[in-house]
Amino acid sequence: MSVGYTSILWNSEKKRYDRGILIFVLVYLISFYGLHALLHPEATSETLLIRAFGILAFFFLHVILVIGPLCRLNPVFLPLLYNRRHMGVSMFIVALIHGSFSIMQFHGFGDMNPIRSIFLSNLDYISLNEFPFQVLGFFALIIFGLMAVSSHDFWLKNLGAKIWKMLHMMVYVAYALIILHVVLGATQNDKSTVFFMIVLLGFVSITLIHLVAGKKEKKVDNEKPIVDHGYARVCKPEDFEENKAKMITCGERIAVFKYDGKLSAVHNVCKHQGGPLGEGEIVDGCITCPWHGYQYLPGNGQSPPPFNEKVATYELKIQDGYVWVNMEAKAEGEEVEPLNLRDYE
Amino acid sequence: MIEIIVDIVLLLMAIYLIAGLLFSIYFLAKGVAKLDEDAKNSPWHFKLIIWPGTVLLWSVLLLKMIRK
Repeated sequence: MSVGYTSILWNSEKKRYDRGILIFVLVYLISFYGLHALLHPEATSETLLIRAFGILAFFFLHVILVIGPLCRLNPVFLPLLYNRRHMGVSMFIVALIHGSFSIMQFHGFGDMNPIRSIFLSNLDYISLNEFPFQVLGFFALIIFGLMAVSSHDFWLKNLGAKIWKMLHMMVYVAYALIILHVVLGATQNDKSTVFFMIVLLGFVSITLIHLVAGKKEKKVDNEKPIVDHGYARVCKPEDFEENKAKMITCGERIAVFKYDGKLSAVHNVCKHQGGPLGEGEIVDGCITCPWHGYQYLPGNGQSPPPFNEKVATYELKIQDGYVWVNMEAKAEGEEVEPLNLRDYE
Repeated sequence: MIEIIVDIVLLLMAIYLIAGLLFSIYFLAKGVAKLDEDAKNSPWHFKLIIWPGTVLLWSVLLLKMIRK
């Protein structure tokens, strides 16, 4: 939450997460080198390095892409989402090592500038079998780089949510480029059918999980509430669980929270990275985003001082035994008197 | 033909990055605190971590600063 910046916000959970990534990378590299020393003793150390880091980056990219939809399907995966940015930066570093060594190995020892050589050393751009696949990897690496350098909260705030989100959605363009980079590159290096099957399995898994999660989201948005004089019907007061929310979609998603015998409604989208506030809980009197723990006071949608994030609030009423929410949002951070359920008992 | 296109694109990229490098010197020294109050009195390691982004995304930052 923004009030003064620091370089990396490490807490014990994030440190554990990063340690996990580091241990995984080390175990993977040792296993990869060990196996290759046994199976392909003729391979040079540069080749091993390029392969090891290429496969690792490809694996990380798949993990990063499935975390979002997995969390939409089951909150048990939320701890993975909590520090996904560190995994993204790790993936970029791994991809950068792969890219740098590839450029050095294949383009660094000629007369031509190595970057120029990526584009011009092979001009078979219309051939499928001989396509210069490294160009695709180069562009994907630029996208990963832009995402990694803009992953600090400073960029989210100063680029604006729209530009930041657009930039980070480019990961799907990068994924398409990487799939082509891997498939075309492997075709030219006579990789086995098993290799293609693994790549295909990864692609199908990513596609399917996105489709399933998208279908679930669409189902929520398609549920049309009963509307009366600008108010949408939420549910009966007894349907609420303490410190949790009921969500309703009427143009925008609204989260109605119950706490201390009261109800308050806020816009469902967290100001940090668009997390679903309604899937979070009230912790220490604050609505707490399930993604990264950003907090808002339920009565006014403001982050507790000294933080300054704000979400829109909504008026509530009880009519005919149901809770109704005014579909017209108040200004972000505007105080709205909570609906006291004890008044209706 | 393709050589000319590649050379022009690489030249433009180099010019963009050099402009970003120059901009980042001003931005990290003064501009960042003008653009974002939360960045006032921020530690040097924060500036170090946003430096690569400043070089790559300087055009967006410059637009934001002009609009502000």
